[in-house]
Amino acid sequence: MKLLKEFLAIVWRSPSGKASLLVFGLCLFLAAFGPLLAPYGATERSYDAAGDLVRLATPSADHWLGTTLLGRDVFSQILWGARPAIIIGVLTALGTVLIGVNVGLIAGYFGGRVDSVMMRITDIFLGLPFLPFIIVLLSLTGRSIWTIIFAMMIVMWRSTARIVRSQVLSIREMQFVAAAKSTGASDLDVLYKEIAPNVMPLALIGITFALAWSVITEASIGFLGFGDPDVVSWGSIIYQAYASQMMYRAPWWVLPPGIAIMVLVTSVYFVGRAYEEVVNPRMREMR
Amino acid sequence: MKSFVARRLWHMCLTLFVMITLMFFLFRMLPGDPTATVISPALYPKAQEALKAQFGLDRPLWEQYFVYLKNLASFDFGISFHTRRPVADAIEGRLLNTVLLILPSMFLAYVAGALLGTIVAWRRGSKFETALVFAATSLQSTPVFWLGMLAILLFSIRLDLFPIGHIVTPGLFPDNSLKMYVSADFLHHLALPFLVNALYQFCFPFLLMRSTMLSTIGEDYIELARMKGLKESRIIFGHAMRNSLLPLATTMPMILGWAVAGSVVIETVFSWPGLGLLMVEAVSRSDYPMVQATFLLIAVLTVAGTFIADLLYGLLDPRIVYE
Amino acid sequence: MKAFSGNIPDTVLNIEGLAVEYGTGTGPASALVDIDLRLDVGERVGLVGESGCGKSTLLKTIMGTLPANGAATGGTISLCGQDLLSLPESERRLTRWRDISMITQSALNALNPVQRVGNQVVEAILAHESVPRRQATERVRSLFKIVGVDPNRMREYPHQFSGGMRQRVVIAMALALTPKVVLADEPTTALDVVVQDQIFSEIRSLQEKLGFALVLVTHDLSLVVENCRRMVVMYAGVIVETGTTADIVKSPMHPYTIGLRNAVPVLGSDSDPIAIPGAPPNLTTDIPGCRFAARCPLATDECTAQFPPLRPAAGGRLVRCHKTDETQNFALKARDPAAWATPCDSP
Repeated sequence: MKLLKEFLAIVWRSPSGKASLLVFGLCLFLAAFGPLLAPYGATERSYDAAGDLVRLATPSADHWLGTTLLGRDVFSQILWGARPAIIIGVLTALGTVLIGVNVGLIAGYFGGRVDSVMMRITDIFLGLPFLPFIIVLLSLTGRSIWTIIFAMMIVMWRSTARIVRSQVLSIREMQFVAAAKSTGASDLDVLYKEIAPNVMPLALIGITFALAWSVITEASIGFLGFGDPDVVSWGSIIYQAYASQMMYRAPWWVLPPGIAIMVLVTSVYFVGRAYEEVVNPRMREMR
Repeated sequence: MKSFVARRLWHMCLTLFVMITLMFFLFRMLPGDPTATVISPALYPKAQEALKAQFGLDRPLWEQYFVYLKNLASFDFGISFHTRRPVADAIEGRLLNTVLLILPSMFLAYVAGALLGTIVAWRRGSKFETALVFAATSLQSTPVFWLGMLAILLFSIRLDLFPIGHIVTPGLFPDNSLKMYVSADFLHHLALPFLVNALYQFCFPFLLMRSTMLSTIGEDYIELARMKGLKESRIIFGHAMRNSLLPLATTMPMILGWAVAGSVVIETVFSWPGLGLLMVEAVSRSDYPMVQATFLLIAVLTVAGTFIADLLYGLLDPRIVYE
Repeated sequence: MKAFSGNIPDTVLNIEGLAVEYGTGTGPASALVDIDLRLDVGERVGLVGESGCGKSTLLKTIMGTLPANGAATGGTISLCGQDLLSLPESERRLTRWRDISMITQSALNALNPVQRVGNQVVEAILAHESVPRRQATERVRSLFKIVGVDPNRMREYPHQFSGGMRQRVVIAMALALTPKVVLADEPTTALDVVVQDQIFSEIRSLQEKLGFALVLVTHDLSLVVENCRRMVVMYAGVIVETGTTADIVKSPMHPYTIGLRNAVPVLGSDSDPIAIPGAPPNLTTDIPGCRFAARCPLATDECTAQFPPLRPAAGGRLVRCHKTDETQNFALKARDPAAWATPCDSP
């Protein structure tokens, strides 16, 4: 909690960080209340007075961002899509960093054979083609939000692990670690009570980048047609438009979901960078 | 140097071997009929039985695994469920198409990223810098397939400058001969996906180059270079840029890997007949032999890219000693 | 090398009334105030002060490489009669290194790690003289010989050199254009004592042979005693005392110089070196009086209110202190840490 407060304080101090934090806050708000605000259901079809489906309607007062080929309101779909984007992004980022930090901590602290084995494994994961592997995994496990999160986590922890490990390697040599050891603290105590707090800034940076990256990846999965069929996400809206072959006739259908992704991810990137700019020099001093 | 190359090669093989093994068992350990990954369930039961015996699927799993490895060694990837023809035939040519799309655009992205990143760091604090950094970050935050769709919408549909997808005009080169790759028609088709991918890939090296340059400019040797009375351009391009290229080189393997893996998306948008598109199609058709083969090849490209980038890094930094 | 009429001392570098300010987030910081410094041909002058006293800023101002937020706001720096501060940047660039060069602090970072050491010297020559590259390289070879580096190592990279060898390369670089003035900024900080002595005797003999004037900038008083006839003491951006090294070390007249001398361990003495309590002032705040007043046990209201001028004292010395009458007395008891209690400390 204290860490989060400090994180927010640092980001808030930079102008671009402040703006991005506000934008991200808006996305969180939409994730929470978007479905309540949406004028139509996510897959609700609109009919006109004559009872015909309102297909590919241009933006109007009824449909702010027009409708899809199946008569769904694009604006409402965008609002509905914020929730899966945030849920998938945040959970994947947390899971990724949780795995990555632990692997990095253990490998860096124990060193020796533990380190070389764990880093070999990390290297193999680094060689794994990112999106193709996720798609294969999804094709085997079935497509749902949870399998998507799981698949992304499996391939994304690798970079955090490497960064954390190299930081641990230098922290390990510092005096307070030796001091803690000399008081008879167990390895686990030293690792999680003494060393772990010092890599938390790295973990926070890792979370922001994993969050940004998983939102884009989720959209890509959706676009390739491997998304959760029961969930309207920004990626799946683009996929529907693409698959219907109508996207080039209906820019109002394609543009909004892409812009939504761009705005969310950009804000996350800038938040991460505002924090990184302050914290990185500090971390470098520790080396 | 020699032993370094040997060691990296050995790591590369090990990585690939683990991936092959992983894929083999992944497809066979999953619930359902394990033979379904080798023999299409769409066949008549009798035909399935016959094939099972023929492929030795009645044998234990580990024996099948060695047969699979042996076949791989002779580039035998099995039979496609979809086309009923050898997977190897379908893959032929796809690899080249992917490389032709990804590598040149990555090259352009890196050269442009390094140069513009340098210039922007030189002109730090200017409006030009702020605008470019914001643009690059936003661009990096957009899904590349969406960028591709926008490009098609604008340049192909509205302005009618480029064809919509495909590698050449269908029917123009019925025999798929190599002549296709030197035709103007090919370049015309290549242009849009090439530019979109290059633009997207540009963001990372650009932003990294800028931030590295900004910290390099503060180094003592840069100040000394200035004291020596060198021209500003020589200080920036001769001293600062050269040093700032190192982090760019370190991250290149990772980015190259992402780009190859990202081919699944960019090829899908532009209907570019590369490995990525083939793989996406194969996955949606549950054409498992094809999935395994395409995945493996994409992995080979990724890992080989890492290997080459590692060697390049040594050329840039004299402090690296290959042991 | 260049011949000069060595009999008559001739001023080569003359700094008068120099002031430098940095723009900071909390307003301008006056980094240098009223700097006067004269350097004669072939002279060795020591410039002493704690880190942060403005030594580096002074050097950067002389070289013309102040960061973008810093600027000279007054005074002149004249080199052989020509004011450097009024030169346009294009001409200023050409005078750099050709007339005044520098032996930098910590040669580890001063050399570009990814370029061959020989090239880094060659490029300095090529930036100023239109000579063929081969000829420049030849000159660097002989320079390397002069400073005691094997010329065959020109194609090696900095990381292949030891600290002492790297420092020699940096010296070779400083001499490449036979400058009139060489500024040596803590030239041996990162080196062990033996190498330090080697480097200094090298610098001294080169200086006598080539006849450039040398400014040795250091926080280490003993180095100045060994190498320089004249010295300048700086504190918080001002010169507090100048004179011959022998005089100043024997009987320092500024309280800060007294403290500085006491901070040096004396061989054979049973008293421990003591440091001056407190820290240099924050230069972004406006200090109307003496900049040392806050740490000075002799400080009075006059000291905190009025900026003291640099007054002449016996033996051609200049001292910036209102209390020069009392300092002789203070110097005697200054070995006792209790003597450093400032008026503000007592209740």
